[in-house]
Amino acid sequence: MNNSQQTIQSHINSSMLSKNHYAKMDPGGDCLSSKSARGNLESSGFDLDKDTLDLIDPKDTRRKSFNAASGDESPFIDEEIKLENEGIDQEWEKFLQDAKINPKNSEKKIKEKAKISEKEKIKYYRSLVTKNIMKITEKKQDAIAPNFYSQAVNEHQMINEKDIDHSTFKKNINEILNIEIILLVLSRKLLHINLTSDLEIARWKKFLMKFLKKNGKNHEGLFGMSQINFSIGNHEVAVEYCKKAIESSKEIVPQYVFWKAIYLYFIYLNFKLDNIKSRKVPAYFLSCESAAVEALRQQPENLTIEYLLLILSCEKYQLKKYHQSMSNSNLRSPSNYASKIMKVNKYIGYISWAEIYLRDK
Amino acid sequence: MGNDVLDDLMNEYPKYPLAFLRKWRRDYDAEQYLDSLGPMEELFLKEEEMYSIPELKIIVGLLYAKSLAKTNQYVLACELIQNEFYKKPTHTAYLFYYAHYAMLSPIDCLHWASIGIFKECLNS
Repeated sequence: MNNSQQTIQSHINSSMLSKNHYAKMDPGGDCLSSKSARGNLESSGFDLDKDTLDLIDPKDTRRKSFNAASGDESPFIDEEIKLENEGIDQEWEKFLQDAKINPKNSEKKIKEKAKISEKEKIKYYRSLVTKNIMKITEKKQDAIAPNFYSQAVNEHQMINEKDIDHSTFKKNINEILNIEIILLVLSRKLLHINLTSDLEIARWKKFLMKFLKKNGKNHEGLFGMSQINFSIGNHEVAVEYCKKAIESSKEIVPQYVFWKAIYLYFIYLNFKLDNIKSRKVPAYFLSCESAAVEALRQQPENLTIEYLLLILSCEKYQLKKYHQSMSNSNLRSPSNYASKIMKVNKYIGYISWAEIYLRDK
Repeated sequence: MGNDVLDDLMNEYPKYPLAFLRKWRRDYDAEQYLDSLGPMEELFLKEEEMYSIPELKIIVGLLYAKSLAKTNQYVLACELIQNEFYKKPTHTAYLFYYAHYAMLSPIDCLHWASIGIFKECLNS
């Protein structure tokens, strides 16, 4: 083994060996870990004993990155090995490789990065950190607490959702739209009975009947029955079940109050379209109004309830011609509700204003 | 004024269906059935991705067929409902509307078909 090969091996070993080996070889500790001391090591012709040579893995790929012909040693080899052991991402490795090949370029990059404002730096480092968390968690899920893992995954997903326009559009439209507001906009008295398949209704009805025989006062079962009755057009039965569900639930469930108002609106609409002069029309109008006001108290940001109140307030003026009892209604003017909706969502706000203009005509 | 607002909304937010639905209702209730075809046709041909609510597709199909029937295009209405029924064969409401429009049409052979379908509706 000639001198140059010996020095090469000694450098490889210097990064691979533990402190105990150094302690044996260098009890004074002069050569430990300091890069400046390596020059002295080389010049003194430092040879390894048999035990330490056996520790060198002949298949070690690190040797390939070593430029034996020129005799130059990479200054990053220690860090590189550490990084690999700790599972740090490929970006850092690429950076190191670039630095090896073109040290000037790496200096430029560092200078460029230094120009970036501190906020951007923090963002960049945070993204690196999250990436590393993801990598580590993917590899060593057991080693990390489950809560931490789930948090990291959620953060990652949140970032992805925000970045993609398509998903944000879907999210927006989901926030705005629901089947209740579509039914209110259309205001057809029996359109909703076509929306659920008969098989599904029969299956759910059978299941819920059995369930309610055992648990007669279960509020979820009662509400389910009210939904089924609504979807087959039995609005009055649906209201009865909904009232029972509200009574049997220990805490007030806002969703039940909201649906009660919807059921009452469709009962009112049926009576109104059949005969506007019927006495039941103002009775159901007022009960729908009180249910909607109660629902708005439970869910102050629900646009569907606001829209329902807007429709009711529009129809209030129409019904006043036929029924004196409509003076009991405490609804505000339609424009009041429309401007309130407009503040929360522009699209439904414009739809509300269009509703007012169309009814005025 | 309200109509102009709806037209602007349909142009500016073509992927949001509420303005189209309200426009249809306005035209249909005013018995302007030919005008009511436009918004529903546009909504019906849109990609399924915009239907974040699965029931919306059923609603649009039924309303479009309703407008077609009112403009005496019974065969088209029946074909449309038939296609929708193939996609969702558990919805027997489609069967009822198919039979209903087939009976209203002036074509004799469709009348016989509608009788058979009404019987099927009673069985299901």
